[in-house]
Amino acid sequence: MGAHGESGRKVGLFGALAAILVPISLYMVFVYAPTEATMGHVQRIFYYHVATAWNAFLFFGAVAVCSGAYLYTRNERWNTAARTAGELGVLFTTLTLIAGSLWARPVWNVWWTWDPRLTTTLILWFIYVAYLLIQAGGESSERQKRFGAAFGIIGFLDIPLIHFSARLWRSIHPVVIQSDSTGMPAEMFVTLMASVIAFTFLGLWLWERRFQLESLKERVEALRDRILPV
Amino acid sequence: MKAYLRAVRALVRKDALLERRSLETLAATVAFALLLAAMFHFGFDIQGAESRRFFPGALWIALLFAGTLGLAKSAAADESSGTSRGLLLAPVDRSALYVGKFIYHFGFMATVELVVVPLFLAAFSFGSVARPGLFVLGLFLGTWGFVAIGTLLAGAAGEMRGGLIAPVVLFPLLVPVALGGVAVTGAAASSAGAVEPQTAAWIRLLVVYDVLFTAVPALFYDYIAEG
Repeated sequence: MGAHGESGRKVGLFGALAAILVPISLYMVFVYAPTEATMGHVQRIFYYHVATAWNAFLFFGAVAVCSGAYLYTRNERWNTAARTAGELGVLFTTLTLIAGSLWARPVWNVWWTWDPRLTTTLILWFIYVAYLLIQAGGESSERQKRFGAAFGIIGFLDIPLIHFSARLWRSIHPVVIQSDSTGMPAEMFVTLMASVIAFTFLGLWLWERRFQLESLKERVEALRDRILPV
Repeated sequence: MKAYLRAVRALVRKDALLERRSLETLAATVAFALLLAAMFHFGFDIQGAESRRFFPGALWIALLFAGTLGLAKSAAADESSGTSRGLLLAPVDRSALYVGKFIYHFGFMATVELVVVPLFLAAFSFGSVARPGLFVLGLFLGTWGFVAIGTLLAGAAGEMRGGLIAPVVLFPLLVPVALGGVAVTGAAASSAGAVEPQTAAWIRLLVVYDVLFTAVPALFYDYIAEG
């Protein structure tokens, strides 16, 4: 990323795609997709719920990969990439939990229940909040960053085990997408895919911007240290 | 290999010796865990035989809570005395540092449990345990998983912003240990007979957890603990 990318003016590929795809997905979610027979309009939350959940997993995967790359190469930029991915992962998990809760109230008649998927998502949220807490220690030392990276990898490896244990513990979440069929009309499926793709690019664009901002911050700090030596 | 084992032994001996001189961390951890048994009774107003239902949950919450603080304390001592820095300079394989700490912490927790578990059983109206073998197995596997993760992260966490961060960092990762430990020890304490399929599934899960989170830190400790 050269001086251009860091100037913050360029929208970039992800930004352009998000700008085109998000309005299209909005149209599809609210106009194109049919109204669900029993749940009514509240079912439309589903398109956002799945899209934000997908993004959350995507960014948690990115945390693990970037953390591994950081431990291996010791290049600060990987750590910045992992940390900013963690921020977005927490953001999208929060949105997933809120959207799910709003849907569950009219449909399940509760705001929250300890279903395996809900439990797993909540624990994920806790894991990555803790990850951000490790990383956020202001003057985070080299060592702290390395432990943050280790935590990012271990947290990701832990996800299947947490999910499995939550399932053993108790299992009412609708399984909408099964391996053999999608269990919904084609219009709904297309809308869901459009929403997922639009959110993916929106997420990637946000990640790019956060990364640029952090890089700028680090550059400013480096420059300040050079001009005003302590 | 011989040098490796010698290094691990020396590390375990060092920590055990330090702890034996004062017993400070051990005493505080045991006291805190037992205090939690009292707090559970106050908090839920538990009486008589109904307290049995609360036993496995209360025991694991107390062990994980007190254990986290104990581990963080032992790591903080290494930090403030400069030991952790010195150890990194030692000409041994880095994973020996992890293995040594792991063994010490496991021994530490086993000692804590030796005192705490019988008293918890008494406090929660258990005269005896229905399946002692299974009960010990549940404690063993759960403690192993907790120590494996705790050894890697409690040190890092304890070093930062006091004690609050250690449980916040460790507990989410320990969800399978908490659920599995509660399920196995709970089943073992209250009902006799053959191992139920559900309990067997929990044991398998704990074994996978323990193996995974012992192997990963041991293999990658080199990358994590450098410098």
